[in-house]
Amino acid sequence: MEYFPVEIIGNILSRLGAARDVVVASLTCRKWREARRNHLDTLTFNSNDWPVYDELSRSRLEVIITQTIFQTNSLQCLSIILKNDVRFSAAPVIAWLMYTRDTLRLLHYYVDTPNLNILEKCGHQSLELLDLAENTITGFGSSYQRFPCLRSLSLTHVHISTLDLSNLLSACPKVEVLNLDDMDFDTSGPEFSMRLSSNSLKDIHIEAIQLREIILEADSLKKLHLKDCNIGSFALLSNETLRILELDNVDIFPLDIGDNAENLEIVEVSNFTTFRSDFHHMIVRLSKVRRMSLCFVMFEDDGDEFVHTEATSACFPHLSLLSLTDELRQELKCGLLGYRQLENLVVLELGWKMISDSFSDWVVELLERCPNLRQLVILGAVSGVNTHEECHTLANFTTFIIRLMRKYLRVDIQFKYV
Amino acid sequence: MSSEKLLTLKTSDGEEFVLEEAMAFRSLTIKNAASTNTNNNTPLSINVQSNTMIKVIEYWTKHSERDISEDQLMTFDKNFFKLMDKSKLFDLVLATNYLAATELLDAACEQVADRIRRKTPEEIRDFFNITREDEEQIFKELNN
Repeated sequence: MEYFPVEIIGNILSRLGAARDVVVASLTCRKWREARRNHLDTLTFNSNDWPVYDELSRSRLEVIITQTIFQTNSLQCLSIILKNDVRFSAAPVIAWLMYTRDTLRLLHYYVDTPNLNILEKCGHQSLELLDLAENTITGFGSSYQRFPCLRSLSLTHVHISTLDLSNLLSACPKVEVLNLDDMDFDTSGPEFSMRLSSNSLKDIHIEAIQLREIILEADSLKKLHLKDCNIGSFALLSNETLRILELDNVDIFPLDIGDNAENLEIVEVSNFTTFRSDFHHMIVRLSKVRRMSLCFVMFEDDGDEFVHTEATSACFPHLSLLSLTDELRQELKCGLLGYRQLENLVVLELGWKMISDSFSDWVVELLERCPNLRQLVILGAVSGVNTHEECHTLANFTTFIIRLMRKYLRVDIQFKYV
Repeated sequence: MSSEKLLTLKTSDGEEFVLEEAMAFRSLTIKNAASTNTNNNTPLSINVQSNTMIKVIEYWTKHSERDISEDQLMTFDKNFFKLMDKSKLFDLVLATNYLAATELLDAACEQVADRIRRKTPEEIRDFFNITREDEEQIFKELNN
């Protein structure tokens, strides 16, 4: 060990990360203390690593963190994630941020700190990742600050106005990843809508948000994931770069992704409510899609006005995995997936919310459309099967499938019941 | 057989290893030495013991395989280090540091960190064979 250069010890300490382990290890000898002082790049204060944090008073915690941070001089990654509703006062946090300003690249900060303007105090020039929770961001609108290196921005349960968020994004010319979760938007003003604009964003994840309107202008967007959201109207303005779309437990009317449907490769929709024509309009144009999952889709309207002509020419030549639930059977009849064969479909997953006799017929219909199928998966909700009649239906279905699959010997059948 | 260029390495205890240049260049030290070594016939001398070099090459070989999944690599890495005793692990850290083979060096440092996580200072001193220092000296330093 005597031969380990101090930089290597710094490497090892940085991988320990958890502040307590780092401090304990550096008590061993002078070389380790030197490594901690000059070669430590990561420091983590996380309740999960050391539950004792939760038992300490606020002021004790502030002292410990201050002492530990001030004994380093090249910190690149700082992570402070504490439970138990602790609240720091702004002064020590400002000290930590100013002290590490020149070298800090990654900051994870999950502690409610009133009167702290964190964006103003952290280093702008070098910050690459900001992961913030439980704080308030105000007054960014008139600021001249920019974050030239920021690549990833994550905000969880942060109080901010939609305008300030929009301005913040504009101040990050290289941002590629945006995560918004359970945001506390300042909707007391006239803005119930959010307009975000970024030419560099590639990956957007929005969760647990309720807004009247969202407009995203993102010319480089590749992946969009919306979860547990209630959004009045949603529009995506982009350069057809979108490849992955995930909508999970979302209500959107109307939904507009423009021409982006053309290049989508993966589409996963589950527990989704929208207007019927919007949905048909989007799905029927997914000519490049490879994997598609449409489960538990509901429509707010009975609209029959959608165009059938698009359906007759619709085809899905690259589709290799398809997952559907039976409420879409009627939509398929109306041309949701066109009328042609699904030549390259290899895996088909069909599910039901409530078992019914007509489900078997639907399986037959679809099997006939998939000449090169290799695997059929039946996803069934059986926890609600209680009455004698329902059990009978399930048993009949099982028998029917077994007989049916003898005709399709090349297809492997699997049952997944929940 | 691939027509890759080959390189011969000679360890500090005289053993020779022949490997593909592309693989050997995972070590920046070897890469730099090879570019200044105009005579391609003499093997490149490296200050690494042969038994350590064997492990390095084993790791490089696995990580150069095509069509290997992330999961398979993770399992390999886990087993690679699981059975390695302390002194072999330290030799590996020093060797990869000398070779400037950052991927394996980082993996080895991560393994050392895993082995000392949540230990007391005494246990860590035992682990690394560090002699206890003068208590007063430590106190003076910490309060400076």
